[in-house]
Amino acid sequence: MEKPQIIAHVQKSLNFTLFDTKWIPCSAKFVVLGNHPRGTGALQVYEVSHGDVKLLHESEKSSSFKCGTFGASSLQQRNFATGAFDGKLQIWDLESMQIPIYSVKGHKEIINDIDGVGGLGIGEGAPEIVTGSRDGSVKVWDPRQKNDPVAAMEPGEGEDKRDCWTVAFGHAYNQHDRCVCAGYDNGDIKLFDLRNMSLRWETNIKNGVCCVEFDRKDISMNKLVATTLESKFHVFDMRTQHPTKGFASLTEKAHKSTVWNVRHLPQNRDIFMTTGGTGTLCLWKYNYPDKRVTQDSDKVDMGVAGTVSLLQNVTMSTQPIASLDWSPDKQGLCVCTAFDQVLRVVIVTKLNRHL
Amino acid sequence: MAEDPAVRTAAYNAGGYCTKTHNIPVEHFEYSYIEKCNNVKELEKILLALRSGEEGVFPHLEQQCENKLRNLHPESRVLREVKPIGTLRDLSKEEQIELKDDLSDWLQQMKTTDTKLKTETGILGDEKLPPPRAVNTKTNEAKLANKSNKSNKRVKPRDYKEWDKVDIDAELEKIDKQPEEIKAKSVNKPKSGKLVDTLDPTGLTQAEKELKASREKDKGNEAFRSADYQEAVTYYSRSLSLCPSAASYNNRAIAYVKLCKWKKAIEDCDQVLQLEPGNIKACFRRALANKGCKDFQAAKEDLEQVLTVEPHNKKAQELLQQVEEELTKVKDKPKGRRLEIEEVGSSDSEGEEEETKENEEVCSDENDGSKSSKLVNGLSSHDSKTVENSNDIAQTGNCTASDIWGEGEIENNAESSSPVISAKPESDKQEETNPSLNEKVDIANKTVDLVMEKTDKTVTVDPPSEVSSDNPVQEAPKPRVVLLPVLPAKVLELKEEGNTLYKAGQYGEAIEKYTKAVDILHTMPDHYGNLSTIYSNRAACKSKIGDCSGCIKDCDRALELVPHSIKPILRRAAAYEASERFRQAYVDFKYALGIDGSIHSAHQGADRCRHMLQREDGVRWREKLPPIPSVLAYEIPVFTSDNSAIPSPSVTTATTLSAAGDRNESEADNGGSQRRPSDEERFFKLKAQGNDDVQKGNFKRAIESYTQCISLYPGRAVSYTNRALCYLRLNQ
Repeated sequence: MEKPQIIAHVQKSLNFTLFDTKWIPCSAKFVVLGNHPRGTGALQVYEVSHGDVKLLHESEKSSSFKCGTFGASSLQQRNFATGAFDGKLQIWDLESMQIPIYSVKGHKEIINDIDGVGGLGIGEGAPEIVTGSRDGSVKVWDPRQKNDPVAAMEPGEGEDKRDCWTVAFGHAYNQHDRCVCAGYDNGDIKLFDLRNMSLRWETNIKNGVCCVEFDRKDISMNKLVATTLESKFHVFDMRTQHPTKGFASLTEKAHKSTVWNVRHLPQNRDIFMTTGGTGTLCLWKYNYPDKRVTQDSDKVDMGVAGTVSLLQNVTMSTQPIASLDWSPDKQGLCVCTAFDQVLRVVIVTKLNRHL
Repeated sequence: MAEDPAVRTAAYNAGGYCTKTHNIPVEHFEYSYIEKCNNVKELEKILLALRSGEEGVFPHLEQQCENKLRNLHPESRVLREVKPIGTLRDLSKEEQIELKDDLSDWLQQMKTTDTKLKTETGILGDEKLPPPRAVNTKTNEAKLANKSNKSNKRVKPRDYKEWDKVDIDAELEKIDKQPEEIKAKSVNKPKSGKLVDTLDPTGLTQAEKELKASREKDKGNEAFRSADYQEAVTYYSRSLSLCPSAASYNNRAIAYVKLCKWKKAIEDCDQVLQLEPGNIKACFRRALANKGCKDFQAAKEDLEQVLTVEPHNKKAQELLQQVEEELTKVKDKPKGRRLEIEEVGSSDSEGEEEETKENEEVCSDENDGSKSSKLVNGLSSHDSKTVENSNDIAQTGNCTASDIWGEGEIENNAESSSPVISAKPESDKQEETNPSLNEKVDIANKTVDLVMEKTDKTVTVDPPSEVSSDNPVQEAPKPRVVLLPVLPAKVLELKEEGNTLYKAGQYGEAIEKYTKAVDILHTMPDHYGNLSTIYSNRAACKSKIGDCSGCIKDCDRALELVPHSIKPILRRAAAYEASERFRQAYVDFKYALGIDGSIHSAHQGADRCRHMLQREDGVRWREKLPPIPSVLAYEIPVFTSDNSAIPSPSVTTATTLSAAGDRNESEADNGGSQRRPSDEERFFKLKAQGNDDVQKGNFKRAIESYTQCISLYPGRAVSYTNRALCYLRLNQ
């Protein structure tokens, strides 16, 4: 089988630090977020056109942007939700950026990560945004409810407040079920069940959790990938939860440095890309085991982890690749940003053959 | 290597020098050692040590070590190397152009979608959306009030430690105990884990509908790939509820085929063919489904249609061949070895290879539904023969293969139910097979004699395989033909569900399904053949759950309806044996052997029973036996489905089951009218010779014999089909 090729299509050097980038659904445009050296927030919209990217518009806001998502917006509106250094959650209409259409000071400290579900036809149920912050809390917001989160998960009185680095929605396969997964700097991973309002599962993977992502948000939980500081990532099979052992998982070494990010291919949930602290990209494929469920000695179901195979491994930059986003509309097209202040549009070819 | 640590310590003890980090004796840094070493772990270590440059840099040695490791274990982590990112120039010219065109097409397409989305103002589905979570929970307040450690204000942030204290199970129990009216209040409480299979398209614009439908289809494809066919069906259905498309119907059809829901698969294929009349893949899938529900004629038509468009579609060719075989089998007058009863208990493990292939197909649908025929072509061209063979076996799972597997299953059954026998010494067994074989021959001869008496018709019988098949014998009366009318949909469904449950090991539930089917069929007198099958299947379930007497009863009923059918007899024998009624078991095994002398499990069973009886009753054990029913060849029932022609009395098919459970491919039948005996005799001799050669695996000689057969009687199809089989075996 021919290997997929990872090809740099467009490179553009910018004059600010890039933290996040997201494709605007149903378009060839994407948003880049970051901060200017003077401490202000930068938001730029680019369009891909014939071997180049064209800056459509940009705006500068008072606080640096850390992360953003379209996940909770309808396809027609395509409003962009951002999390900022000052703990503010804001939702923007990209056509008129003067004032946000929704703004709340959700956290006391920087919002490290944000995710949305229920919009764009991805995930059933209410549109919701989840934010994770250095203040240790994870909050779920409904854009229709001002000022207050609809759910919040934070450590109790006197508990250690761990820095929440990453959050992700999943399990949104019907109107009621929904889960949030959060990863913390001490290696904790917590899975909150929003329907029962309970902590469904937690584990510790020893190293700070840089990124978690479900392979798909809008199906019954299938797989979860968690990446860590010390060049490792874990893949959990989320279909079968054992009462004591939890979810079956596999661990893989990659990048020889922090694994910053993981993003699943929207067109194929079993292919995902991890980005590394040394500017490398790794493309993986998950292979299911023959049987996904087995039974322990007490006849209790438990999951079986599969394997991952490395499809491609390239170095793109010398600095960490902090964000990557697959185009939801074009298979194999992705945009990523690195701390060398360069944004890159990357094409991965021959993904079809691995379907 | 096993001795590796020892070697290392030895080297170390002898004052040898080991590397610091990997603790490898320096002597191992050598071409000959690396060449000989086959231990992946060790090679990896050596390579790492070499790369570290701790002991100096040896580029050649490193290279050699890498190559060696690559040969042994190409996936090794140590071999992973990071390449610089590629550019467009790294691709070939054609690829570059293709990529660029593809991208600019996409850009164009996105522009239109983008503007379409902006201008199209669908009714914003806000009313449809569930209310925000906090509002949502208000309806559940009654429930919440009961939770002592939870406040009513959902909006207020809560820490998860608090949640930890909540005992979910206890809470759920509490809720369950609550009176109904409170439950009724919490309408918003969903049934757990429910995935609805239709979506409400109201309030969505056309573009949104299409987008969503294609996403649901993708989910279906992914579920299909992870072998979760039920989930795949649900997602395809959801996609179809939003926006019907041929590709989704087509994919759902194959998912239904996987779930053995033939009727539904056929319906979906029909839909596809309505939308896209020339869709070859749908045609092929309908053929599969038709074959699944034993409508071989329809399957044949479908396959012929596929082959007119794509004459080189190997998969279709092979399937057609099988279907034709089935058709001739049904049409011809079989001697009753092969019962066309759909039996439960076919193996599941066969499907593997097919899956991967089907996966490819599903995916190609996803790429471009309209070009599907071209894609099939492309796919089939690089199919390897072996994969296809296994495919076809898997596809026929329930029909062709099932007889064999059914047999094997009984065999296992019988063996496991009588542990005493396993202790029996090997030589003993061998000794005992001989007498039973002789008896077998006796029975066969008896049959032959009886048949000889009525030699006014021209039908020939191939004697059972143990008896030499050199001399064809004339035979007379026509076999009992048992019509199997097409089952009513309800019963078919019940039966299929039962079969699936059986395969999944859910015998209790399978029995329920079969019982329902029996209840329905009791009201239809012309379905006695089917009823017998279902009784037989239910008997299999009962024997699995250890209900021997129930099993025996069911077998009795099955045999009452269709006397001398082999499966129930074997099942009854096994059940008798399991309940230690060895006399009856022995009689039944013998009875079965009277019908088909080649059933290995029956031979073994009879031997076991004989052994037990001899131990119990001494030398004169035979005197206490009830009489063994004798069967004449024409009494053996022949099952045929309703829609095929009633077998003509002058054609015989003999298919033998070899002892190992392997399908014996030799198939002998002859058509037609009376001929001059000399020619006739030569024909049969040649054919028998051919069949023998096939059995011995000497296909080339068999082909010669069949060719001579053809030259004698060019009109007889059997020589051609048999020769074709040989060619197939030789991959020609």
